[in-house]
Amino acid sequence: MIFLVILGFGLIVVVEVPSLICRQYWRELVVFSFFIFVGLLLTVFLTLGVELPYIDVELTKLITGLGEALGLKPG
Amino acid sequence: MIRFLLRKFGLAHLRKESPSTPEGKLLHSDLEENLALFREELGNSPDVIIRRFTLNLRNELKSAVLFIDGLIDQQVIYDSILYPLMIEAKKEKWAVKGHLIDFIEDNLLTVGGVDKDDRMPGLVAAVLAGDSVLLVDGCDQALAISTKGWEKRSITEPDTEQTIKGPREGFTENIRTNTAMLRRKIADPGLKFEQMKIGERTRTKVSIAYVKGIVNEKLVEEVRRRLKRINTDMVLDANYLSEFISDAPFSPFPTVAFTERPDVTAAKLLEGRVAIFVDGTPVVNTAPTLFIESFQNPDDYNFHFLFATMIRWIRYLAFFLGILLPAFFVALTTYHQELIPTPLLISMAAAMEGVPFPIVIEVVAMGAVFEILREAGVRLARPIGQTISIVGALVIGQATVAAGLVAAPTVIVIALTAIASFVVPTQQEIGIILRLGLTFLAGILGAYGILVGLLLTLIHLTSLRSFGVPYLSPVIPLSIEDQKDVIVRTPLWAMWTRPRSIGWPRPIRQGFGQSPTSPEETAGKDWSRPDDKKG
Amino acid sequence: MEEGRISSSQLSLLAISYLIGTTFLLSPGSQAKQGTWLTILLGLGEALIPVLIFTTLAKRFAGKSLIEINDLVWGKIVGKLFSLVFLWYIFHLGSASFAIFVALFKTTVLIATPEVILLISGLLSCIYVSKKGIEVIARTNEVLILITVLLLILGFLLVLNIFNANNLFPVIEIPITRLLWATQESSSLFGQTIVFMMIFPYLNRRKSCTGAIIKGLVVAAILLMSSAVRTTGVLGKISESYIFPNYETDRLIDIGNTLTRLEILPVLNFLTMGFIKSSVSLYVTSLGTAQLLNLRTYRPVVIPLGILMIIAATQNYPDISSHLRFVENIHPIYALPVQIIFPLITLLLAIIRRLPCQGENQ
Repeated sequence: MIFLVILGFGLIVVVEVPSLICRQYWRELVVFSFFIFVGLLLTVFLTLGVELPYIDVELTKLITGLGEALGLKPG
Repeated sequence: MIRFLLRKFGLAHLRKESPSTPEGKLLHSDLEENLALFREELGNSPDVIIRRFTLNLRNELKSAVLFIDGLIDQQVIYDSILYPLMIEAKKEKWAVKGHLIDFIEDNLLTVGGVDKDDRMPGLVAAVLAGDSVLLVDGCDQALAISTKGWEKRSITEPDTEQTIKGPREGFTENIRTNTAMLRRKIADPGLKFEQMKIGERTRTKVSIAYVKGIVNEKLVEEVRRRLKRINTDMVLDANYLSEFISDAPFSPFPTVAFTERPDVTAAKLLEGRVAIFVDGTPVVNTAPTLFIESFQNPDDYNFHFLFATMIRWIRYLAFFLGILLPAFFVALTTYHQELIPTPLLISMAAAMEGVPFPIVIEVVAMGAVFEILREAGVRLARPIGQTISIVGALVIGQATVAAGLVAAPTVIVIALTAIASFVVPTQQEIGIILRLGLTFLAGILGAYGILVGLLLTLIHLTSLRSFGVPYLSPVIPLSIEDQKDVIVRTPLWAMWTRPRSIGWPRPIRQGFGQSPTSPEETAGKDWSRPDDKKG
Repeated sequence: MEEGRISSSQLSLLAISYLIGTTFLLSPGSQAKQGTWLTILLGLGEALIPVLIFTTLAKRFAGKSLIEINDLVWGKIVGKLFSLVFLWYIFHLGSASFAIFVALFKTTVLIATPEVILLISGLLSCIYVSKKGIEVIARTNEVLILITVLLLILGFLLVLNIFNANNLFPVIEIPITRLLWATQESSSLFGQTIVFMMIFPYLNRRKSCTGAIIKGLVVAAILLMSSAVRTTGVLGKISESYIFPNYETDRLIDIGNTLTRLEILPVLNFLTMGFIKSSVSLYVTSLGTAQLLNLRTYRPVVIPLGILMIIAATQNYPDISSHLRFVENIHPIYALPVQIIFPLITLLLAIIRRLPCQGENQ
C-alpha cells in the first residue's frame, strides 16, 4: 500500500517537475516540493493508521475555548 | 516537457535541423550544357521527354522542349508550341528585335501562361508541376510554358457526405476544379484565394479561401501564419495540414472541420470561416470549427425546418446513445439494479444467467468485435463486404447468444450503439474513445464513474478553442442570437445574422422580417437589408 | 498569473453553484424545522452586510485580490497573516465539500467502493479544471447549473403528488433565540461568497461585482428555499431526523409505479455543484497561495494542494453527524472573522490610511 502511495507521488513529481526546471521556476519548485512532501507525509501516516486530529473537533475546541476565555457561554 | 527530455537525451539537434535549400544554378548559353544540367537534376527517368527541333527564324537554331510525359496536355504542346515554332516561324521573314527569347514569347507562342526564368530551381519546379520548358541555343534564359494537363476524376457525389436533397457534386483531387466549383457557388468578387506551396518534396499547392468583407481579417492572418510555419516533406491530404495547424493537437475532438461538398464549403465561407484547399485531395479543411457543426447536416437546410429540427434532435439523441448506452448498461446492471423497472429486471436477469464473464468485459469485447467488423467492412472490396456483414450478424450475433457466451441484452445494446454511432459521422472517432472510456469508468464506479467521465469531457470541451473561437461556442459562452441553429433549425428567413463568434465583423446576413406574408401586407414593406457596414 | 476573464453573469452563476454546492444536502437552518425557508430568507438579508463590506473593499482596490489588498493595507507581515486565515478558511470549505461528497456516496450509492477511489476520481476533475483557469471553470459551471436547475424543477414537479401543504405549518414553533441563531447560520453560509474576492480582478467589468454577487445570492436563496419547502412538505416533521433530507425526499418519488426511486437526482445535483464548489475552492486556494508566496504561476501548487485537500477531507470529522453539529454551532462563529471582521477592519484602515493612493489606482 505504501509502495502504491509512493508510486503515485512519484508519478506526480515526474509529470510536474520537468516543466518547472525547464522554465527555471525555482521558487515554484520549492513551494511545490514543500507541499508535496507534506502531502506524502500525511498520506503515509494515514496508510499506516496513525491517528491524526480531526479538523472540526480541533476547531470546536479552539472556538469554545476562545469563547470561554472571553467569558461567553458555549452554544 | 518533451523539449526537456529531448535536451536531456542529447537529441536537441533533431529539432534544429531543417532541410537545406539548393543554390540556384544559372543557365548557360549553350543548349547542350543546359540540357545536361536538366538531366543532372531530373535524372534519366523515362517520363522526362526532351523534344529537339530546329527553330528557323534568322538562321537555324537548335532548340528543345522539355516536359514530363503524363503531366502535360499533348495537344497544347503540338498546337501551341511545336507547330508555331517549327512551321509558322518558317513562313515569314521575321525581323527579330531585342532579345530572341522575348521575341518568341511575344510573337510565336500561343499559350496563356508563359514565364521567363534563368535559374534552374524555378525551371525544374515548373517542369515537375507540368509546365514545358523551351530552351534555345544561344540564350541563357528559358521559357516555362503552361501546358498542364493530366487524367482527372470527374465530379461525383461524395460517398461520405450524401444528402437526400441538394446538390450531387463533390470536390475532386484537382485544386483548380475545386476552386472553380466554389467560384460557381459564390459569384462574389470578395471570394479570395491565396495560394502557397507547402511540403519540401511534394510542393503541394495549398489555397486559403475566404470571402473578404465577411471574414475576420485577423482570422485569415492567423491561418496564414500557422500554414507558413509548416516545414515538412509531404502534404498528401488535408489532414496532413490540419494536424499541424489545429489548436489542441492532443485533443481527440476535431478543431478543424473537413468536408467534401462545395455547398457546405460555400455556406461556411459565407458565415465568415476560412477554407483550406489542398491539391490532390477532395477534402477541404474549414476553420474555425464548432462542436455544433458536427450536428448540422446540409440536408437540414434543404428540408422544411420543422422536420429538420426533429432530425437534429434525433442526431443529438443518437450521439449521446452512441457514447453513453454501453456505459449506462454496465452501470445499471452492475451497480444500480434498483433503477431498472422490476419486470424488465427479471427478464434481463433471466437472459444473463449463465453468461461466464462480467458485464464490463462482455460489453467491451462485443464493442471490439463490432469495431473489427466495421474496419474490415470499410477496407474490403465491396463484394466481400457483404460476407462480413453476414458473418457478423449470423455467426457472431446469433451463435454467441445461442452458445451462452454473451447475453442477448448485451448484443442488443451493442447493436443499437453501433447504429447510433454512424449518425454523426464527424464525431465518430471521438465516439469510440469516449464510449470505451466511459464503459470502463462505469464498470469501476457505476453511474458516478460515468458522471466523472462526462465532467472531464465537458471541462475539456469548454477549454477547447478553434482559431480563438470557443469550441462549444453558441452554447457556452451563451449567445442568444445564435440559438437559431442549435436546438432548433429556425426558418431560413429568420436567420438574419451570421454566427456571433465567427462572422461578427459584419453581422447582418439578410434583411430582417422577410417571413412570407399575404400580398396586402407585403405591399408597403421595405425589404432592403440593414446597413451592412455597421457593427 | 491568470489570463482569463469572466463576465458578471458568469460570476453570478458561479456564486449560485458555490452556495448551493453542499447545502443542497445539508440544508442550512434546519433546526428551525418548518421555518427553514424563513431562516434562509432572513439569512439572505443578514448576509447583505458582509457582502456589501467586501464588495466595497474590492471596488476600492479595483483589480486587486484580497491577498494583495491585505498586503497593501496591513503591510507584509500582518497582511500575510490575514491572508493565511482566509486561505485556510477556503481550503477548509473545499475539503468539507469533498468530505460530504464521500459521506453521501459511502452511505447511499456506492457503499462498497473504497473512499480513496471516490476522492481521487473527484480530485482529478477538480485539478484538471483548476489548472485550466477561471474561464473554463465558469464555462463548465454554465452547463452544470443549467442541468441542475432543470433537475430541481423536475424534482419539484415529481413530488407534487406526495406534497402535503399542511406540513409547512406552523411556520415558527421554536424560541426566537434559536431562530436568530439559525438565521446567523444561514447567513454565514451566504457569506462564503467572500471566496470571490480572489476572482473579482478577473471580471470583465470590475464595478459590477456587487450586483453580480447579490444576484447570485438571491437566486441561490430562492433555490434553497424551494428545496427546503419541498423537503418539509413531503417529509414533514421527520425531515430533520435525516442526514440528507433531500435525498430521502427523492426516494419517495412515485409516479404511477413506473418513475420510482429517483434518488439519483439529488446525487447528480450535489455531484455537479459540489464539484464546482471544490474546484473553485481549490483554484482560489492555489491562486492565493501563489500570490502569498509571490510565485509566477499558480499551476504547480494545484496538485499538491488538491492532495492536501482530500487528506483534510478524510480528517475533517469523525462522522457526518458531528459535522452537522459543527455547521450548526461552530461555523457561524468560526466564519465571522473571515467574512465580516477582517474585511471590515481592512476597509476602515484603508479609509483611515487613504488607500489606495492616487497613483496606484488606475
